[in-house]
Amino acid sequence: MVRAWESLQGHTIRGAKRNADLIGIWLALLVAQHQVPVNHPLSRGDLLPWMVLTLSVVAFVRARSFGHGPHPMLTPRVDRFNALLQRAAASVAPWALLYVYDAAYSLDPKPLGFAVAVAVAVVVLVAVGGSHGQTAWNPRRGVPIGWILGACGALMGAVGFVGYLSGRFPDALIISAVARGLAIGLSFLTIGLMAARAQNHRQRLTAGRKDGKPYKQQVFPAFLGTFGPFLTLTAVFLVVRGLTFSQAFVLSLLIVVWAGVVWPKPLPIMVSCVLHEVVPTGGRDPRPKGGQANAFDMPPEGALRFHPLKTKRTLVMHPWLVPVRSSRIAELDDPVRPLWDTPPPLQADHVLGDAAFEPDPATRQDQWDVITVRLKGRSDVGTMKGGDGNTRRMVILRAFPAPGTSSRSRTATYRWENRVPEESVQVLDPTTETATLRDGDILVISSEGVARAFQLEIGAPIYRLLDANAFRPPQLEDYVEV
Amino acid sequence: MVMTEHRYADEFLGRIVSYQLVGPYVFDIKTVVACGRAALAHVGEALRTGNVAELIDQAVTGTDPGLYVCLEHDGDDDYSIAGFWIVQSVDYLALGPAGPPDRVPPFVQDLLDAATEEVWWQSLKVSLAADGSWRPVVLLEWPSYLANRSAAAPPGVPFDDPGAEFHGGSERETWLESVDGAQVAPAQSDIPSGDFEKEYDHYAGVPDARSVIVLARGTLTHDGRLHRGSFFMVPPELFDDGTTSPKPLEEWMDEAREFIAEDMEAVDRDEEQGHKLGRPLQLPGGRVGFHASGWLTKGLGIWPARPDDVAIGYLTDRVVQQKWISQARLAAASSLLVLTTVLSFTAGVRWLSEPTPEEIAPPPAPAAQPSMSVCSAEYQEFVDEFRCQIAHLASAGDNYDVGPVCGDKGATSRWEDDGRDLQAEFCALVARGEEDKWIAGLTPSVNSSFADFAASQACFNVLGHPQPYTLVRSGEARRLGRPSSFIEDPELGIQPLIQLRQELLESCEVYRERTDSMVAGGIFATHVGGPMARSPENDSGAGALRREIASKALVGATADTRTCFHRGMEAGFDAARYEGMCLDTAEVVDPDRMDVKAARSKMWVKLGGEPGVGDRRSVIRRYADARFNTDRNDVKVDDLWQCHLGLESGKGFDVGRPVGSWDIAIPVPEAYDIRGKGARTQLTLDAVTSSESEAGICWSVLRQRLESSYQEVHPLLGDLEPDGWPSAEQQLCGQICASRFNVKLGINHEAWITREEDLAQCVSGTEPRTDSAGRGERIGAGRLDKLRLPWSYRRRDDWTPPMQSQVCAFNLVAQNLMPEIEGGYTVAALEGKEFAGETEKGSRIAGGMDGQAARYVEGLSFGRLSAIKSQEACANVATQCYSSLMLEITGNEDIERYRWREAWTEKVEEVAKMRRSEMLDSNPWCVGIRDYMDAGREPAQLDTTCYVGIMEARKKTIEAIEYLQTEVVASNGGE
Repeated sequence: MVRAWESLQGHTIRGAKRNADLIGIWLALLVAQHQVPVNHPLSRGDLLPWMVLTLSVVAFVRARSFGHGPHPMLTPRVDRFNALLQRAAASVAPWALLYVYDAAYSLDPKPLGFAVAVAVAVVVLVAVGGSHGQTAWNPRRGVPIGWILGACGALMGAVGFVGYLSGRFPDALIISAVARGLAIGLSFLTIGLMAARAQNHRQRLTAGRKDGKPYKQQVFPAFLGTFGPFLTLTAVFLVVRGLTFSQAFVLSLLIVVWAGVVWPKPLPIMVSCVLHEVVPTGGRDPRPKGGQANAFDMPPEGALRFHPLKTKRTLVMHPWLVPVRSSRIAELDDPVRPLWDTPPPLQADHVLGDAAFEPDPATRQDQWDVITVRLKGRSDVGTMKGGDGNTRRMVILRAFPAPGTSSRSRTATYRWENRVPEESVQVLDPTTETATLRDGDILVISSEGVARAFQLEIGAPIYRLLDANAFRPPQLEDYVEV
Repeated sequence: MVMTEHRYADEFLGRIVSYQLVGPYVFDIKTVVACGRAALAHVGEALRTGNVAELIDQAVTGTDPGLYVCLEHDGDDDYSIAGFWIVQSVDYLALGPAGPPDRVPPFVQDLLDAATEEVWWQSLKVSLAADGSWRPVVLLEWPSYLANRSAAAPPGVPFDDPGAEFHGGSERETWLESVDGAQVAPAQSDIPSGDFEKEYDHYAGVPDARSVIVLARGTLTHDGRLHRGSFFMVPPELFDDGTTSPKPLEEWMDEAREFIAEDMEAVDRDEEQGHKLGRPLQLPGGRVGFHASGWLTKGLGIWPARPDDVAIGYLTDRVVQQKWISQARLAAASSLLVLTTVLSFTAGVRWLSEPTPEEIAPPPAPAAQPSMSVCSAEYQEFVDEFRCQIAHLASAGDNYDVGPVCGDKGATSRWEDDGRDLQAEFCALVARGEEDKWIAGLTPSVNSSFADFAASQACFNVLGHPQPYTLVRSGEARRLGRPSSFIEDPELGIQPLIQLRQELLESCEVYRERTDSMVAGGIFATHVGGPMARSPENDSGAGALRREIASKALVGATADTRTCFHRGMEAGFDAARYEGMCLDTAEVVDPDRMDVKAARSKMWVKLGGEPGVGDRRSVIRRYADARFNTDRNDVKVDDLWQCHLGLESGKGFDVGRPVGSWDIAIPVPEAYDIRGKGARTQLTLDAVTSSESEAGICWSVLRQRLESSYQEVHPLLGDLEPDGWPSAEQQLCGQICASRFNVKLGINHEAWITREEDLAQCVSGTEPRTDSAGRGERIGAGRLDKLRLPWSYRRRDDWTPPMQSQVCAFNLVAQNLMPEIEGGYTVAALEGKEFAGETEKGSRIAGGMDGQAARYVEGLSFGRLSAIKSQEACANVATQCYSSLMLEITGNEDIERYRWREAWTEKVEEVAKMRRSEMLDSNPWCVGIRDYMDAGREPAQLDTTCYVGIMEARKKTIEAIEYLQTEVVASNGGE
């Protein structure tokens, strides 16, 4: 039960964090909904304009192709402006379908004109912004004009057909519900197809799978992206009778949720972190009066107490690339045959040992909030060489323990020590097997009376191995030999 | 990848084994996973592509350092991956594990992770167990050049240094030294530790290529959702059977794949023995490996510290569910969550909003129709019509249905509104229905109160006589609206009209109380007491009576009621308007809170018109005229207003001459007179209130009001004896005399207000005889039997009115109300009737000439002494004389009680010194004993007999005064 609760809690919190952009969009639409005048086209009774608006906004943020994209060993071109144009094209495209729907619904050619205008705009945007994401290898030249036109015609025809049916049977609830749901589902499909490239498909087709089997294009994502919204929206329209614009936020929520499902955020393979060297800015006890130490039951005056909140960064910093250990196996999801052999990425031989963002044990989901360090017999903790003992003491200080962790006070060594939660202090000794690091934690390493402190800053995630290789490789002097 | 092309042949057993090694592959200690994946990818592709033969041809003996993949021969050309084989290089000394805190053998987890990431269950051909799990074997081998220098050096071989010179004997000399001395005991306990020769001999049959190995076994499973993995180190004890011959490769490999983790945990070790090397196991290439219970560190020590510290290792669980299934699950969960939320919310709203079949209270009637104003957008239009209807109904009396009037359909003329005050008229219409049960019959079946009639008809007319509100009537009668449709109908009712009606009814309710109180005050003043002075000290008896009785009558009344009652009692009904009607001044200076509250009603103010305009009659009169403007007999008028109407008319009440208790006539005023025309004495008031005789409606009202608050004071001393002597009325008056002159003290003495008036009402000073001319006090039934004195003449037939003290003295003696002294108050101890006599025989009216007192007084006074020389005769006359003088003293409030005897003596002396004529005017009874009143005169000069009697009477009188002076006087003479 406790595990189930932790799993639910982890899913919820992590899901909310990863989809904060979608949640923000939904809240913004929720506010904007009440600013729309009653006679505005967006507040139309069938709620299609509002749903298309929602889809446009989320598509601008999240829209991607349903497929795997280019071969992972190829470097795509990155052009931010063109990427923006592509997002704009994905955002505008559903409106063309809406106008087709309206034209068929009312048998009025005027909306069809708007549809053509929007379609032209989409084509222009795609054509201009097409260089973004382009890769070099094109195994077979040529533009699949037939496929493109056929897909566009099929989509327009399907939307026009349901619009026509809806217009002929305005009082038929089922037809109206199905028509509106399908229009949105096809809009999802349109956006996904727009981001697809025939070149990518050809690359994978040519490369084949690692196990020697031929590459097969995944159909399920497109299927899910089309029929998922379609079925749920239809169910809502059928069950909730008399849905008006005042309840449009419900439909916005559905579309936003489906956007999160169909276009999930990519998972990073690594996260760039930085260890800042910090020096204490406080905590020094006053000097003993008279130059004599106090009794043993008194705090040792003149000692330095390290307070994790009373630190100051120096200009010294150490980059640290920490891998994200995914619970999923890359070969399982994308068993594309590599085009050439690549050496494995260099691993950071950190002083602490093997550090990685391991999957959440409760949810088995990927996470990049907590670094788990597995101390595998590193000599840096403490060694005994012959008769010389080399003692190094490592402590990880955490000013603010994570919510939900135990607040029980740590057993103090000395009576004058402040009571702090167990989570706030991790002492790394030769028997310690694992340690965790969070953003802002202070790592204090003391050796032979000299201490250095580092503050961890967890930075931006890295999604592609190619980007990771461009990262500054860890240097020996970064970590070793305090 | 580096592939060493050595054909492996098992020299040891001379046959082809089932397990073969392919490799070596690059083994970088820092990238074990990557190296493992590279090796697996290569082997896996060869197995998939059918290049098995080529791969097997490249099988090696595993003597070179590196990573090998162990294949199992399943028959013919069928091979599957059985595990990994790592032969350590010298890099291990630099990059190998340090030891703590590891509890699982190194590299095993990484290699199994590599197999997992290579998706072994899809991409690799592995030898699966019966339960579908893969149990790969991972063997870590430290070749002899490392093993011999380690803490777990294989037994029976010298430290091998290929570069050292051979000096013969059994041991090669070398400059190298063992890193650490052998700390691990061999498995065989019979080998003497440290004795190399014996150890060498013991393992003479074992090849010199002796490695130290650690054997680990993994268990990898997966279901549709998760991939799980674990591994454990196979302890050497599991292979140890006490022999030194190497265990064949196939044999121990097969056994190793069958072990389970529990086998490792079940091994029983001697904790003090520490690590050990097990039975040598056959390795490819003619080598043997001594299976250690721990692994070597980079310092070639052995770790963990104790064999029991070895633990089971676990791989991280991996989600291997098909991605589309995972995505579909996420989609389903998300959709379900959203749909559940939306649908449950909708269902909840629907459930809450839909009516349920439960029996509930009937829904409240729908609110009346709203309207911008009352019945019309033009408020003044409704006001004018409403005023007109009120004025019409107030003045029309029983002819209220005669029309059309005002704004009725067909009306030809309108009522000229002069702005008069119609508040009283409206309240009168309200009171018709609520108080008098006089309602307007509009049709045989439809009735309405006059107030509702006025309001609804005004609304009806202003609205233009709408059909839904029209009252269906036959003939050419006046077209009326149905009042209930306007006021009570849930659909047709007009809310502003209902609110307006409610406001007006509340105002009328407040002013009704004020009006009634004021009328009650006027009636009270007319019937009880007399005008009150400004301060109670200056009140006359009647004024004090009114003040006292009014205060009792208003016990428990509200402040409003008190104020209005006093206003009516003291000033009459001169208030012209409701506003300020109860204020002390006629002019409204500061409206009270009730007026302010009523003024908040806009319509109430409109009904009030303009002050000083129109009808100048008082508000009470206008109210009464409007309210009782009917000739119907079935109208029930309450007593208060019946009294008011009677007094207002000035015609009085047809009740004859009512007589109250003690034959006292009840005054019945015929008209209002706040100066008082009723009971001006308490004796009269008591006679009225204690009587049940019919005295008119006004006295009924007053009796009802005083019933619970006023307690009669008469009789003052106690109950009367109806059949006693004298008559009860004279007994009543005797008690008044006794109380007035302090001879006895009544129970209600303090509540007795009109003392002098009551005494005057009881004492008669007229000549008792009634001659033919009608002179004298008339007595008998229907009249109060007053106290009287039978004789009081200045000369014969010349009656001198006696003083009250004289009359009372005579009757107190007659009624035995004088102090009871020894021997009786009278000298001869006469009965009262004997002393006083009766006016007529059997009349029971004290005071006749046949009494002993009066029989001789005339002769004694006017000189016929011969007839009265008896002692008793003189004593009785003297008793009357001295007693009357005594009462003059005791009745004088200015004389303190302790001086009564002294004052009486002085009074007697004063009277004695009077001239005869003066004495005849003031004290006729003393004239006869004038000569004897001087106590110092010699008896010899007088008639001794008479003198003795008079002195005796004097003595008794003095005793009585002394008694009153000293004793505590109580009612009935009690002490």
